[in-house]
Amino acid sequence: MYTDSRQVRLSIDAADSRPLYQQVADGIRELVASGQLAVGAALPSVRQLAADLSVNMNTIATAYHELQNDGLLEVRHGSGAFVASTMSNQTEAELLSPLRRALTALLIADWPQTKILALVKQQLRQIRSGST
Amino acid sequence: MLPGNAYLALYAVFLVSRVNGCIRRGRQPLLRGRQWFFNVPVGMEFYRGSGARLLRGYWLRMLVPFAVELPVAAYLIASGRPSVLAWLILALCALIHLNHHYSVAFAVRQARRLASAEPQATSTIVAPVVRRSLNEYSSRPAEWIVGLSIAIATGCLIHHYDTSPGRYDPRFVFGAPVLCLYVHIGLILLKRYVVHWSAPIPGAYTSEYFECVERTRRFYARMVDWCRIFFTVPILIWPAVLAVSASSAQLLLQVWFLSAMSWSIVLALWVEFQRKALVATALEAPPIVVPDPLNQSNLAPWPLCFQPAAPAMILKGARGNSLNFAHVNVAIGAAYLAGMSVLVVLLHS
Repeated sequence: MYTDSRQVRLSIDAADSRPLYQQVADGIRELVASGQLAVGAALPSVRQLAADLSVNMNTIATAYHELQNDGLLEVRHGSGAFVASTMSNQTEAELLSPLRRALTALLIADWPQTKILALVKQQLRQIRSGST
Repeated sequence: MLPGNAYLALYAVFLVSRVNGCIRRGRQPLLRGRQWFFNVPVGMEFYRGSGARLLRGYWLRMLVPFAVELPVAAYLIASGRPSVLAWLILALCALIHLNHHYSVAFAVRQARRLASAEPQATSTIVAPVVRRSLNEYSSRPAEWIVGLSIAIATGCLIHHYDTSPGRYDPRFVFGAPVLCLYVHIGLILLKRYVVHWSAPIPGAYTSEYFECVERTRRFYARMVDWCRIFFTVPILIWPAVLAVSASSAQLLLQVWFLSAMSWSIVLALWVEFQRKALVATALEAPPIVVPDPLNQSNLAPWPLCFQPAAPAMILKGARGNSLNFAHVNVAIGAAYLAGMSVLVVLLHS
C-alpha cells in the first residue's frame, strides 16, 4: 500500500462557489490548523500541485502568495515553499472579521443561537481532526 | 561491432516478446466485462452490433506497426544490413506506443457516441500535499553502485587511452560508452518525468485511485532503473574489451550479448507480471469523470498547443491529445534528441 504516506490531501470542488485559488489556500490553512502540515513541512511545487489538481499554475501561485502574505508560508528561492508558522500574522480584528460576517449571515438566515453554537463546535472539531 | 547474426537474433527476440503485448492490448477494451468498452459503459447488445466493428477496427489498428516493420526488416536483411535492425527496433518502440495511444483514444471517442449511460462523475479533485522527488523513488545503494561503476569505467578508459597513444581513435575508445551514458542521462530525464507525472484523483474512490496512480508511478520508475542498469553494463565491460586480445574481445562481446538477451527476456516477463498486478489494482476503481478546471478541451487544439500556464506536457483537447510546446519537458526532450542526433553523426563520421 502506498496510500499511507499520501494521507495529507487537498481537494478542490468545481461546484464550490469560492474561486479555485481560495479553495487551495483554505485547504492548506486547514491542513496547518489540524497539524497535518507541521512547521517546516515542504509543500509541492506550484507546477506539481497545479498538475495534480488539473488547474492553471497561476491559481496555485496566487494561493501560495496569499498564504505567504498571511505568514503561513515561506517561499525559499530554489528550494520551494515551506510551512513557516502555525501562527497567522493577521491582527485579532482581521481574524475576527470573517467570523463576524459568517455569524451575521447565519443570524439573518434566522438560525437559532444553539444551532449556530453547535455548528461552530462541529466545524472546529472537523478542522482539528482534519476531516471534511 | 556485433556479428550480423546477433542483430537477427535480437530482432527475433523482439518479435516474439511482442506477442504477449499484442494479446494484452487486444483484451484491453473488455477488461471490465462485456458491458464496457475500455472505460465507456455500453449496452448488452453492443458487441453484437456496431461494437463488434469498432473492436475489429481497434484490433486492426494494433497491427499497423507490423505492416510497417515487416517490409522494412525484410529489405534490411535481404540487402545485408542487419545492424540497422537495432535502429528499426528503437523506432518501433516509439511507433508501437504512439499507435496504441492513438488507437485507444480513437476507439474510445467512437464508443462514446454509442455509450449506454454516462459514467459516474464527481465535482471534486484530490491531490496529495507531498513533494515528490527522484530520491523518494530511487534506491540509494543502487544509485551509488551505478555511479561508481560509471566513474571506474571512465577512469579505466582514460588510463587505457593515455597509455596507448596513437593506437586508438578516441571515438573508438569513448564512442560506445559515451552513447550508453547519453542514453543513461535520457533515462534519468524519463524517470524525472515519471516521478512528476500526475493523474487527477477523483473525490470518490480516492484511496483506490491513489493506490493505482502510485503503483503505476513506482512500476515505471523501477522499469527505468532496470533500463539504466542495462545500459551501465556495456560502459563497464568496454574497458575490458579494449584491454584483451581481439579474439577474447569478440568472446567477451558475445557473452555480454547473450547475457543482455537473457536479461531482456527476464525483464519482459517481470514487466508482464507487474502489468497484470497494475490492471488488477486499476479494476478495483470504477471509471469516474473528473472536472476539468483547466478547460483543456478549449485550450488545446490537436496536435500542438502553446499554453505556458498549463502545468501538463500533454493536454486533453476536444479532438485528442495535444503536445504543450510551452512545457519545460518539451524543450528538454527536443534538446536531448538534438544532442543524440549530433552525437550519432559525430560517432558515425
